[in-house]
Amino acid sequence: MTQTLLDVRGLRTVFETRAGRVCAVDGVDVTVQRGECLGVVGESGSGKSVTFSSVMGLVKSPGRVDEGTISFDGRDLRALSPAEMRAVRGRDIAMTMQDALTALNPALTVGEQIAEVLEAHDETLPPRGAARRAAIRAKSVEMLGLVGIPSAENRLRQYPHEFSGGMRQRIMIAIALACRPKLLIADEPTTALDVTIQAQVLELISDIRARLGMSVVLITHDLGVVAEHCDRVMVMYAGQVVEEGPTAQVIGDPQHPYTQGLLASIPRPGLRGQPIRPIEGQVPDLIGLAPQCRFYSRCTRRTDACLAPVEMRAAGPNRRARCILIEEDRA
Amino acid sequence: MSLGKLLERILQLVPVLLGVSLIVFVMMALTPGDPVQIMIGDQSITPEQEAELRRGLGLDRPLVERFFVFIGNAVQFDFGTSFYHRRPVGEVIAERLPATIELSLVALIVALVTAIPLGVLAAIKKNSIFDRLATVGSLLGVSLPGFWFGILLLMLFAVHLQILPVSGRIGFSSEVPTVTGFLLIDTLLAGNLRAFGDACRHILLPAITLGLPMTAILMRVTRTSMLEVLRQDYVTFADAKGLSRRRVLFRHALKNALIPTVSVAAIETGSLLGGNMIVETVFGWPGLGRLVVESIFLRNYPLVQAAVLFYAVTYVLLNFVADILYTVLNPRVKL
Ligand SMILES: Nc1ncnc2c1ncn2[C@@H]1O[C@H](COP(=O)(O)OP(=O)(O)OP(=O)(O)O)[C@@H](O)[C@H]1O
Ligand code: SF4
Ligand SMILES: [Mg+2]
Repeated sequence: MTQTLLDVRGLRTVFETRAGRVCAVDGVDVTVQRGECLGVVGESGSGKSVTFSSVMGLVKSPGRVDEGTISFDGRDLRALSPAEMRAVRGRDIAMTMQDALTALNPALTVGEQIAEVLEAHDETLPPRGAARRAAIRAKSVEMLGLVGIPSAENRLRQYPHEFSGGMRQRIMIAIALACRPKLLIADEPTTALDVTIQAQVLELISDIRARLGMSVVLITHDLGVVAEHCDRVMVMYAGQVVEEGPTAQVIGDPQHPYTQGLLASIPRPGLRGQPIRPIEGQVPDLIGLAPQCRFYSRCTRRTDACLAPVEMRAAGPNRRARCILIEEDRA
Repeated sequence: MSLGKLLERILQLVPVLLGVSLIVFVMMALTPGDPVQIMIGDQSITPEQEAELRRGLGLDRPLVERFFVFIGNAVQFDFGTSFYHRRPVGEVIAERLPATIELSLVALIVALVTAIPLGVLAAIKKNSIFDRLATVGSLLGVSLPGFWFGILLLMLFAVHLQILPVSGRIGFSSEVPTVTGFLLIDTLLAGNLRAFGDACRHILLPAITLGLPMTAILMRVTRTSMLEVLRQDYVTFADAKGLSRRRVLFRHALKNALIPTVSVAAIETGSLLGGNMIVETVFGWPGLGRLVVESIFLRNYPLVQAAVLFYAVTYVLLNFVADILYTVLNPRVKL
């Protein structure tokens, strides 16, 4: 068993739109080690959600994964049949959606929405009959208890609208964790929550990660959250990874001008709870991009050398960044 | 639904029924043709006899007075005597009603059973050949005149292929004792499977003709709402849980997508009433619709008025049913 759980290489995901082909994710590499928490940050539209939807095989038309390999736990996910992929989703890789208020089905009870994922994947359940139903019920109650929903027995019969936003977020996490996945992809699990609940939900995820030994990908806008919860961080810009490395090093000594800009906009050392303040200028249109550095138009340190394609470079041990200012020999 | 809301609904019915009665009264009065002349036909009678007949029917009174007499009686559920049948209107209508209800229900079932799967399929296979054909088909379905489509079916299946009967509810040789008035049920109660089959063969073409516009509308509604629902986050999340495609489509998507379909179906059932008149006439179906058409030609005022009131009440009730179904299907809406 290798230490690497998820290994994505050269991922390219495109959307065919009327205006042209949108390259939402372009040449992204991601690795997640077992038991590790990887933070993913970047402005809105930088491709965070699309990257991990691609990993889950959930990109819907008009989008498609165009290139790249996605290897999970030694298996090539892109080579799996739809049925094989369904067996991976929910069991080995689970996801919580960016918007908890719309991710639960309004017409089904919470109990049913937990039960169905157990029904689909849990092989430890009794094969059929009342024993199976009782076991599913017991597990559902256990999961709701785990995410801190009191008197879970009575609440299984309720519908999502009968719960608060924070509770629905927890229910979504309970559903995602029900089958003890190896990897949890948490897409902005704290947006739309107030600060105290935010902290509780993040504590909960960290806590369960430690207990179950799972890996977590934490997509967020909040560098404070990353500093507190993530082992490594990956910064995305316009569909590419621009910097990646251990959290402390990236935050303490950012190499890419974009990361530097992100951090400069936050008063330190109190990183917590600060949203990313936009950097001067705009993200380039993802249709028909020039081969140059994508940050060129907003970079204060650009030179003509930046007009050629810029590859990822090693910026120290375990660190990489996509900028010509990085001297490779530092590695 | 609270008792207060229910009462409110019933009270809302009062002005509707008054208005409908008035309109029908005025329209019948404005339509040329005199019921007494029609009854006399080419028999020769004296002017005295004619006046006597007119007085007997209450037609010698001014229109305004007739209207108030009608309303006064109607609130006591007395709708007068059918000029033609010489029997209470309520009785005549009650006799014809089961045939119409049976036909409407079968049409509704035919519409639901074809429209929902087609609509779902069109949504899943959006922009495919099938979807395009379905779009054209439903456009034709709403715009083709019912009598034309009915006659087309008759010519094909009854006249040309001769595999289905031309008119009526059941063949003479298949008569069974009347219990419920619904032949599909009565034939089964009589244990007469052959008669049941015969009744099915009779109802097939009229039910398809009657249900066609509704099928078309429900298919569009189902397709649109299914497409809308498939875009929702909860469908993506259901996929992210690794559920089977069947479960995602039918349990997660369709359950939500059917909410508008069912509401529209309940409302559209009211418009089946209008379609009944044409379809029953084309297929010689002995129901209320045909009775009303005949009564209009005979200027049988009391019957037409009572039938129209009945239509109005049914229409309002069906809207009410639509509201109730909507709340039942949608847990977010509190009763
Ligand atoms: N259905 C779609 N059709 C066309 N383009 C799309 C579609 N979905 C995503 N994109 C493109 O992909 C880009 C990346 O989207 P993504 O949702 O991954 O951003 P994100 O980093 O998750 O942003 P946010 O922080 O707002 O969630 C968007 O800018 C958009 O141009
Ligand atoms: S490559 Fe050039 S333009 Fe791009 S971030 Fe580095 S310095 Fe700025
Ligand atoms: Mg996102």
